[in-house]
Amino acid sequence: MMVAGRSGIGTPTAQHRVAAALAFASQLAHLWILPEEFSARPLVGTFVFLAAVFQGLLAASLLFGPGRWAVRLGILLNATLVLACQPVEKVGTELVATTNEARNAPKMAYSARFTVVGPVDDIRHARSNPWRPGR
Amino acid sequence: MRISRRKYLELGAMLGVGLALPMGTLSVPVSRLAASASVVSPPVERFTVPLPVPPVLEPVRREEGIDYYEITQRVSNQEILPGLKTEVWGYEGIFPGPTIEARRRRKVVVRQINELPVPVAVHLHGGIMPPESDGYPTDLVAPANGAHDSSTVGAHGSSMHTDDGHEGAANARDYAYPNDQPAATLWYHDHRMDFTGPQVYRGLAGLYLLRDEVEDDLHLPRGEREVPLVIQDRTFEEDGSFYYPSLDPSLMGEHGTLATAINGVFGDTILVNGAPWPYLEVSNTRYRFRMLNGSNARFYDLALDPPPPGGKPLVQVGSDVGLLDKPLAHNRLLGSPAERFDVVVDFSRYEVGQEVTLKNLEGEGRTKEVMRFVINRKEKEESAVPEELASELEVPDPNDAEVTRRFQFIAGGAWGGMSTINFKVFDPERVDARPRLGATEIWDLHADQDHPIHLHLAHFRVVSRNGGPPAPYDVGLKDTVLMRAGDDVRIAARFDGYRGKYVFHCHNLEHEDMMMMANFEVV
Repeated sequence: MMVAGRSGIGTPTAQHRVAAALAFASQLAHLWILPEEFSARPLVGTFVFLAAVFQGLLAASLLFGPGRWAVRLGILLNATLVLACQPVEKVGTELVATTNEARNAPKMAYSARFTVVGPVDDIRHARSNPWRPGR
Repeated sequence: MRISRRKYLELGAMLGVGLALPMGTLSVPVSRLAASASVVSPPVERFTVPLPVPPVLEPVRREEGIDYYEITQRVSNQEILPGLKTEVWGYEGIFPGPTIEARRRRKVVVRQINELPVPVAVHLHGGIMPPESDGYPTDLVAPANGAHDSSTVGAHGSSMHTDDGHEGAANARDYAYPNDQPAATLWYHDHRMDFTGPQVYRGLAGLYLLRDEVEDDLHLPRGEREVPLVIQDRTFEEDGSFYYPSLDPSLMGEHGTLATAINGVFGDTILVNGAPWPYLEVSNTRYRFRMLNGSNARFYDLALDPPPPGGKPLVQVGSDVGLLDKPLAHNRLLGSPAERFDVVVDFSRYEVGQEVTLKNLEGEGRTKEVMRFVINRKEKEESAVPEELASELEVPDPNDAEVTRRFQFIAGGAWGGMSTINFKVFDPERVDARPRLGATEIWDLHADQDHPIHLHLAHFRVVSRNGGPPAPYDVGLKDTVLMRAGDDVRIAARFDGYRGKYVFHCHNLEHEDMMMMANFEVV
């Protein structure tokens, strides 16, 4: 695990640098899909934008020796997005089945899922979708 | 307080990577959306262009019981706005496409040759035909330039072979239409999966008039007094090109529109038969207008201004798929995309020299007016509107219904994107209803916002609207029903003709492209 120094400003370790690279890669993935997402669905796009900002700040912070707050917040938010994605989507879908008013729930779940697995899923979908021409 | 060089670097990196980079990336779609919202067509002086009438296509050959046509879909330049050239994708390179005139029980085979840069599919809207000729969204005709993976052509299970044994070239396909249905105003248009909206917008639509003896015997206005009116709205860029807010204007990548058009593309210029706000000189006699709302998303509430003394100038004699049993006079006619109204207007109720404007009571600004009629001469009346039209019209009876199904049409929005039927996006492999061949079914439809709902193959009548009687514009045998936000509409549909897989969908073409479509399979 990444460990911050006692002062709260740590010296970046190799683990920090790897984590920073991953956060930066995640930011780039979000930035890659941002123009299309924002053009088509501004609210989803805003979520993607905020995720990109968050990952970029996290990457920079990790690279220069993060404080505890940065490491913990980074782990917490990324873990939340990964772990919460499936249950929220399931609950959202069930809500939709019973009430029209809740129909935005799966869309929010979709946004959360998108933050983490969306880019990968999108690439996979584009490659495997046989009935969509030109993809 | 002294800030170290390292801290400066850290702050710089955080500002640059964390904020400037995302902000810079965000500026691209933000400016694209802003530009999209501000496109306004070049000004056009209204009622200065004469109404063009699409040419009637001649068959390439006739055999016993069958007429053969060939249509090449190609790119061309057409003067739509005076003094400017517009690139259109047209059937035979014209917009709207040529009209096909067919006779009941005389088969038509249309060879569609694709010289466009994209795949196409052609749907005869309102036609009863076998599934392989229905223009299923994934039954594609590949483009001539080979830019399309040929493995997806015929994905619906069909091949390039046709009933009469013709084999199409790689970029051609034969569509066979039995025409075993009453006279009606049908139309053909593109139906490519995910891209119907932009491809119709660029010009891929034309009329298909089916005639029969019943109609012949009615002595409705004919010849020059039978005029098709294909009403569409478009927005143009300064150079005269169509403006359609595609995410990917090449139409070969991501489908869908910019968020500014998520609920439909609405143009600011009204075209009739491809001309902006045209005029038509008429005599003081009856005229029959076959009106098609060929717009992607716009509803029209049509009325004549001024109305003639006594009112109700729009005498409807037919609807989507055939003549009415008796004429019905209206002051106004509300129509959603893909609906047709077959209407007779008696200009003898006006004075010679008068000008009458066809207005769109739902329009705003430039879209309030559609076209103008100029009554400029006296002529002898030779037509009639009989009290009885198609008295043997076979409309589905809800009392015969075997099954009742319910479908909810829910549009996507800024949050999520895709539009759904019963909360499911279109999946070509999923079948949501299996009506029996020849069966009548009741379908209860619910719309969350404005949706024109179209069933392929099946014709239906509107049984009720929001628990009450159908609206005046619901009359007759239909293939598309107008639904306003929150509407509950009950229809009785008959699944006649052929077994196989067909689609039903919202005919707001942007909703359709965003997956508001589903399959039914006639078994």
